[in-house]
Amino acid sequence: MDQVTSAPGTGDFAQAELTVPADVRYLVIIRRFIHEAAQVLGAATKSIDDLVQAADELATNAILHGYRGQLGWIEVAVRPAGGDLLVILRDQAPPFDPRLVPEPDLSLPLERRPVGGLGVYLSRILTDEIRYHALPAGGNEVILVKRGVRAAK
Amino acid sequence: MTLRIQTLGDQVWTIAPRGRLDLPAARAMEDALNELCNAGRARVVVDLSEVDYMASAGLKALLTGLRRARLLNGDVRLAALHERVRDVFEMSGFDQVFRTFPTPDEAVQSFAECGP
Repeated sequence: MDQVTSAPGTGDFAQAELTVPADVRYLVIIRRFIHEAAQVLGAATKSIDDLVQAADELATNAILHGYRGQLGWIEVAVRPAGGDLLVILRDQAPPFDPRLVPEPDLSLPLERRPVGGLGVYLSRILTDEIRYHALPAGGNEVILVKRGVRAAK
Repeated sequence: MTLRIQTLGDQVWTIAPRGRLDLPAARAMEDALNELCNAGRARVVVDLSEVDYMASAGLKALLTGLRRARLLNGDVRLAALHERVRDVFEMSGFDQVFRTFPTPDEAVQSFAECGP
């Protein structure tokens, strides 16, 4: 049998996509989808868990603080790029660049510790890079990057 | 997600969430912590032995519960954190805020030993 460089359907042109309503009850679907797609694309378990949580945090924010109860959609895509894995989140909520959220001060005492911003902070720690684009027609695109997590074929 | 609440000698209450603590599940846990505090039951152990995922919403729910419990001279103590959950606690600095124990029994016992 000839040696192949990557399994069919898992090369750089492979992309799995999901669209769900902007409703927190669908967060479980988003997490499962990313988990399954990342597994198909050969990502390591720890990296999958990190990407799943980072995406869960940012999708939660988009639903709660972006859409604020308005009807809308969250689009999720999982895409390979060489040894890297990308999770792309898109929404049509007002512009919000997660890279601009200040880091919470974790040294503050309990009484003064703010509870906001923690999700964005975790999503930064759990990924290698976060890219952001305001979509031309309105809405946001956030790309979560995890580097070198796909097994060499 | 399911949530089991039980008391041990009416002194210490245990909440045992099961599954993944995402936003909806965290809201249920926050409600449970609030109800205990409303009833003056402020010595609480959260048994995390069956929780394999903790979103920031879960951290916030625990912190809100902890603040209320301490105002009532109680505490919220955590037990049996999975490695993944422990990682999230450390990343967010919450390991400095909560007292954690290897088992629920040890967490319950800690209230008897040194209060509050």
